[in-house]
Amino acid sequence: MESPFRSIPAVALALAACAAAQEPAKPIPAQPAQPGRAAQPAQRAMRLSPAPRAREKSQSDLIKLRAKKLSKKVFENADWFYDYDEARAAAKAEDKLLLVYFTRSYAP
Amino acid sequence: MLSTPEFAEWSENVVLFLHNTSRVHSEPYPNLLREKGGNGFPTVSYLDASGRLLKQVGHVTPVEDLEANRLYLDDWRALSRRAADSDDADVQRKLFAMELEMKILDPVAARATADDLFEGDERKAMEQELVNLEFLDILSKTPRTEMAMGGKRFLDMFRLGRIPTARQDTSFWQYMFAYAQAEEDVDLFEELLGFVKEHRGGDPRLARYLQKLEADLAKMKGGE
Repeated sequence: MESPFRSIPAVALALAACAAAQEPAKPIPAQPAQPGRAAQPAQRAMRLSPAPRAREKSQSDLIKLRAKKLSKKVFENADWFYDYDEARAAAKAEDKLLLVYFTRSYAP
Repeated sequence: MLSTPEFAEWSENVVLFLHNTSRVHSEPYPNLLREKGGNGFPTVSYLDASGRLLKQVGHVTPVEDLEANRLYLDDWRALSRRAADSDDADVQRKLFAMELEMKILDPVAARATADDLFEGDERKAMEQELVNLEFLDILSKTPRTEMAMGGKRFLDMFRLGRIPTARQDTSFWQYMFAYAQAEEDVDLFEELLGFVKEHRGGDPRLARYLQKLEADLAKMKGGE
């Protein structure tokens, strides 16, 4: 019978993952949809509570980080959709495949 | 690569969609990456117009590789259209084999279709792919916070002799051990550990992991 473990580094990583499991992204309540391609402007929030710990970012900070990410020059090089529904509609209309680039802005 | 003129020119062949996980409350489809089987950043994937995952490229690759994948998927689309218009068994078999390779089939339906379309050595040859498909399907639907739940389903596979060889197969064992611990099933934990030791016990790189499992087993027995 073929050995059950094919990748030892992966086992070590799995063990490490057990020890320090990263919290998965939690479901977020639905809010009004974003415009298809324009990044949202950053919003200044009034800070009424003590500054959050380094690991916890406020919604205001997350919005700023998102705007910074979406305004990166690299995304000016080609015609990107930022709205999933619009992207799928375009793919259907043009009979093309969707190439999705998953990235994040809440952390480096 | 994304900032190159080559990429800009090539991108006319597809529709580009940038999904950014921001953890902003207003963000739509916040879990799309996980729903499409991804678990790291960046991840590059091909979807069809309905949002069905066709191929996870993984990381950012050269344009030539993106084009090779696109052409492969275009072949699949053409074959799908032929199969939809034809009862030709050979076309159906080719399409099935391609979709099995792409891992876009429902595992239960795939097994039934494989039984219908293939026999003998041809059927046997695809058994491991069907097992891997089943494993990856369960894995994709099991959050890491629910390992024991996934482990229960993997145990059903284990009992049928369906042991995956997919890239993430360590999760198969990890989740089953989690299930055994959650159920406080010492016998099961010991059985699984015995199986792992029998097949990979001689690998020194696994020594630390096996030691941890032995320690876990001792702790479980101590609680009896």
